[in-house]
Amino acid sequence: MSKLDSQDVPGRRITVTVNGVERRAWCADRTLLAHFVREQLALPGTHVGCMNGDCGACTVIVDGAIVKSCLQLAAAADGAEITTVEGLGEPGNLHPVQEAFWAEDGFQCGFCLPGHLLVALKLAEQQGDPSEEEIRAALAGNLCRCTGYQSIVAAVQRAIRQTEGT
Amino acid sequence: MIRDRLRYHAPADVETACRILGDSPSAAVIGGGTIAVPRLGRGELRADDIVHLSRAGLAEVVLSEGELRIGSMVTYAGLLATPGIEQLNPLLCTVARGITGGDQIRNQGTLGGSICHANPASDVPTALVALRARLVLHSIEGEREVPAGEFLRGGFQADIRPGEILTHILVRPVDRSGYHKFKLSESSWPIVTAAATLTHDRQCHVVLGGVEPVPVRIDLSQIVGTESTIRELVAATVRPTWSDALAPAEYRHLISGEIAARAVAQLGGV
Ligand SMILES: Cc1cc2nc3c(=O)[nH]c(=O)nc-3n(C[C@H](O)[C@H](O)[C@H](O)COP(=O)(O)OP(=O)(O)OC[C@H]3O[C@@H](n4cnc5c(N)ncnc54)[C@H](O)[C@@H]3O)c2cc1C
Ligand code: FES
Ligand code: FES
Repeated sequence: MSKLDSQDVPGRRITVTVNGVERRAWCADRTLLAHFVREQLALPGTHVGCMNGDCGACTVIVDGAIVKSCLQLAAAADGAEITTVEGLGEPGNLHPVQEAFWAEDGFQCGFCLPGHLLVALKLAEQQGDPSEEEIRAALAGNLCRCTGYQSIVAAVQRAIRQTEGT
Repeated sequence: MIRDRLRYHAPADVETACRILGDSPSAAVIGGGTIAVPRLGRGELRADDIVHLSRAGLAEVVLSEGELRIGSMVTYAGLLATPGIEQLNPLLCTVARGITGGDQIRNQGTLGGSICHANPASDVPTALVALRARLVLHSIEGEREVPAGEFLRGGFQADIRPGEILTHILVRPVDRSGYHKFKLSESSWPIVTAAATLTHDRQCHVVLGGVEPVPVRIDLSQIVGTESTIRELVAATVRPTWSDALAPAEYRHLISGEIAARAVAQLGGV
């Protein structure tokens, strides 16, 4: 539900499992998943940049697949399992992927970071040892306007090494 | 955000989907939503009812009697995850791997949504025309089958009648195929696309997208397959009749022969 929506527009209660916790909440049928997560579930770590599928800041994991949550209606996620950046770690107890971005200066303003972290998480979970080219290809759906990507690639490489070690 | 006070439906089967479409004064179908959802947000697509096909049982790829039956909700990633698909249809695999926007878009976007949107710059229309795919359309009145080449009527114009949904894409294998697209940067839309096919009965064709409002098929069987003759034949055949924000029609026309030759070269000599 956007702040502009009250319950007088068509809507429904949906149940989602977010970061391992079952949540039941109302959403207007026209609500984008990105806005539902940020406002209705009060998880503002998912960022909204372009609303057009281009920037990747709104990336979340739905039923195991990374998706851009600005391209999906929240109602479609009823019953789904969702991971947002809040599911990774927290200050003082960062996830290895977050540690890697911290260690390599994998962000500056941080706007793109939630998307990059979730793409890196998926990549680190997969078997194998991706080349730099494969890492860059995996990051192709996520734009960063600050870093120039060099440090993001280094962070992902470190994340993959650290995940292997755990 | 979306301003229309729309109602969301995720029907459990095609019949119900068609009934909702038929009953609503203004309904829109959503496949993966990668085009339709932003268009709803911008008010370019208006609707009272949204019929989302996600639960209608259309996300399967089935092989029967040598023919691939691709559900209209099969995503690029779903296609690539189909066992044996690299052998069954390398052309569609090349297209699916080459879709930009990251794994996210390949996880979300469907082949069906792409052909229904009928953007001349898209990858899927060129490939499906080259493969002589047939499209199965369903409405409360029944079912009809349309060849991909006839389904595409013009730029952003597909032959979908009110109340109809695309349910399946049917493709038969070809002997060999090649695909080349020209784009300006990693995440750019294609400017010109070319799909070359060699059929089991030795017919050699190239289909060009992004040059005219609909893909253009060119029969290469009559010419000796040197690259220069392909370039000349293509340049003499296609007309510069499509342009968009990325490139004017003249530019597309100018490079079309070269792009076609690169696709044909992948056939490995014809
Ligand atoms: C970042 C980004 C990168 C992209 N890169 C590429 C690229 O490299 N190449 C490319 O070709 N495209 C690209 N696209 C465009 C597009 O997203 C895909 O081609 C995609 O496959 C569209 O499918 P969809 O299921 O998301 O369509 P939707 O948005 O669901 O639908 C598109 C249109 O088709 C209609 N429709 C959908 N399914 C049906 C059906 N079964 N029956 C009747 N009507 C239907 C809808 O009503 C709508 O009008 C990109 C998009 C984004 C956002
Ligand atoms: S906000 Fe979703 S991709 Fe940019
Ligand atoms: S750190 Fe600013 S956009 Fe990536």
